[in-house]
Amino acid sequence: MRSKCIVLIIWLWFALPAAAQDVNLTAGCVTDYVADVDYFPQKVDIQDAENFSVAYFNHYKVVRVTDAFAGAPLFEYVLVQCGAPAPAAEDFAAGTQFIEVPAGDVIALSTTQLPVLSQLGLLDSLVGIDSAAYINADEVLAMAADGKIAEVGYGAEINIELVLSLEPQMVLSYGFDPATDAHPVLLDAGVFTALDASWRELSPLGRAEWLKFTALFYNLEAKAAARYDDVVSQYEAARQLAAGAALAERPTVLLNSFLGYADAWFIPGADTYVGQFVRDAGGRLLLSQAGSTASQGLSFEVVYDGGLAADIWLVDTFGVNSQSDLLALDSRFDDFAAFQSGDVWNNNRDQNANGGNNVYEAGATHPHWILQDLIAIFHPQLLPDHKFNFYRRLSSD
Amino acid sequence: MLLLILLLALLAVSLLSLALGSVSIPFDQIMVILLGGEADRAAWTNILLKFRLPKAMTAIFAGMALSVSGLMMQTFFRNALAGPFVLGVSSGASLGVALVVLTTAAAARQFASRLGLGLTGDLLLSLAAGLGAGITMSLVLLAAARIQSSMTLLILGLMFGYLVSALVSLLLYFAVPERIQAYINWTFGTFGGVTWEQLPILGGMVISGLLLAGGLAKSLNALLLGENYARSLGIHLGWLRLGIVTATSLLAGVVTAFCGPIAFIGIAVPHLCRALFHSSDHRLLAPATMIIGAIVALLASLIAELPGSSLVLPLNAVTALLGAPVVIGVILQQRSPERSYPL
Repeated sequence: MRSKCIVLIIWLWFALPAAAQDVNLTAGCVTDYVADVDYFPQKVDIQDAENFSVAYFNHYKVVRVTDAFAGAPLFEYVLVQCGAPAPAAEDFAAGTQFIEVPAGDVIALSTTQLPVLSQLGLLDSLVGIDSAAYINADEVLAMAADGKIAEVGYGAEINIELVLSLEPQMVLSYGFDPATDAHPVLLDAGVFTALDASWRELSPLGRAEWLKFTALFYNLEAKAAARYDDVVSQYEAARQLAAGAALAERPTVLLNSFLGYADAWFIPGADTYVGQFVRDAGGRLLLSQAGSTASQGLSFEVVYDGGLAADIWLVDTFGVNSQSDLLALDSRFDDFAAFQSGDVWNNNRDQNANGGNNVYEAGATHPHWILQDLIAIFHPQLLPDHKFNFYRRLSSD
Repeated sequence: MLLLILLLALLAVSLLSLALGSVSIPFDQIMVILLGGEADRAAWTNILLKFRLPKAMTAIFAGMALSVSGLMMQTFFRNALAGPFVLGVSSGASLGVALVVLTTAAAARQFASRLGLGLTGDLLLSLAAGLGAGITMSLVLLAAARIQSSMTLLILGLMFGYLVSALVSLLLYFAVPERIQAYINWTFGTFGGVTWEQLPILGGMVISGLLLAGGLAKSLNALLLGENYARSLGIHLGWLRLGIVTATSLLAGVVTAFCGPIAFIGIAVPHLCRALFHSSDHRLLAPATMIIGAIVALLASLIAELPGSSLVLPLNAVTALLGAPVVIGVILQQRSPERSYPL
């Protein structure tokens, strides 16, 4: 009896400190599960993102994604600490997916997830992407060239056999329309699929904060929080810089994120992702609906009438590199004041040979780079030595 | 008499489409600008002269061209469902545009910049659509010269359409999302993309196509009574077929090149015309379809603009939404559309 007590004491001596952990386990599993131990002492606090949330329990966390696409249902994921028992499935809504964390191999179907994986140090876990054609990150391109990651295609035509043969623990996908999306196909095949709804976030910071979403699957809460805090402080610093400009100094900005063949010009509302960028950079977006989170298809007549005098024109259109490119679209563009003064800019400075634009890749996790570019365009005196990341002035030839 | 009324209606609709738009300009100012005076605001003059006027003229040209080529196709194939695009003209044009818009190959870009065109330039799109339509047209002409049966030609055109849309969906699958959007926008169609520099090209080609069609009107009447009857009148069927295919392809091709694949007008207007005139005489139908085609195109363009609001709707949606019920009504009233195509 006595000797048994000593054994128990010695056992407790070794077991208890292991159970009462003060950091999340980012590798391996819990070996001796104890029910009342908090296995996730490092938690995230979500500040700007509106489309995902997390609830922590001792040995599992429940992640919810709302508004993954227009009319999307709620998506629920139960992330169970590896080595701990999973909570009973019947306590959750049908369709809830379960995964053990820290997760292992991952397939990322959107280029926006690549800088996230890179920043969290997870590129070693990346085993597949949709396609290498539109990727800018050199490290990922090198992995694809070396055959370390596979190209699985996207949408409902995703190569499901290839996906299964890669044996990923999860796929990071996105929703747009379930009829053509990859996730219904992946779920049918029994692959854990998390939907990244960052593109539905309206604020630049909210979009960047989705780094924390991916981090949840790897227990990397602390790392993600540190990264995000850094992004916030840089973004806020730039915003403060521009906020000093008086209203009269704020240039009027004509922004069409897309030029089409049809008559309609898509002018983003003031509270859209791009609308917030322009406001934060100290510009006044013309023709934009105040308080609107949607884009409006305005007729060229209206844009001509209201945008002719704009100080700055952001064309943000693929394939437009010079003023003559713009005139080839429509010769009436040379009536615009911004065209005549040469203040026409495009966000395609950093794109690969196939037209994959880094503003949608690195820009998603580095909103301050976009903001700084815009401030340098709107208020050149505020950032005199700025080196542009994504924007360039259209050449005059 | 009815023709005269239609002409007056065309004039009225033209004026209306100049007067109404997303930006509201007072009517007296419109008259001042049209008479060469200075408007209160310089932008108004520009909007009227640089936007509404070329747009209205484009709509008139496109409406005339599509309707007349639809009329010819319906007679040629003796099929009420035929339209200007049955020969695969629009499919060819779509493939041309898809190739330019959706491929990002360095070669295509270099070629474009050597021509002094941006990759997304409207001119380049027109060029590509024109080339696509032209190549299809040549293929169809080759086939037309060898194949005796119009029905076989019709099926060939349909098959060609399927083939091309398969190629286009392959291109779409591999394209950058921004480019896909540009392609989709092209398929919406618009009369507003044609500027004064392009208008003479569009106008010149449409007018020559219409003249050719006018020259064929008498032979088309004979064709209505059957190919044997036409042959007995001394009409050389081979040449007639060649003439019809050339005129149609030219008319439909050039409109598609400049305005995108404008659906429906080509099928609907000839039916409206036959119902209105109770006639199948092409010497009457040809000018009538031209005028009604122009009116319908102008009206569709006007409605797409949603005067008073600053929004615009896709032109193709408007033509079909408005046109389909009209044609359904006409056909139901007429009871047997086959009557127009005695076999």
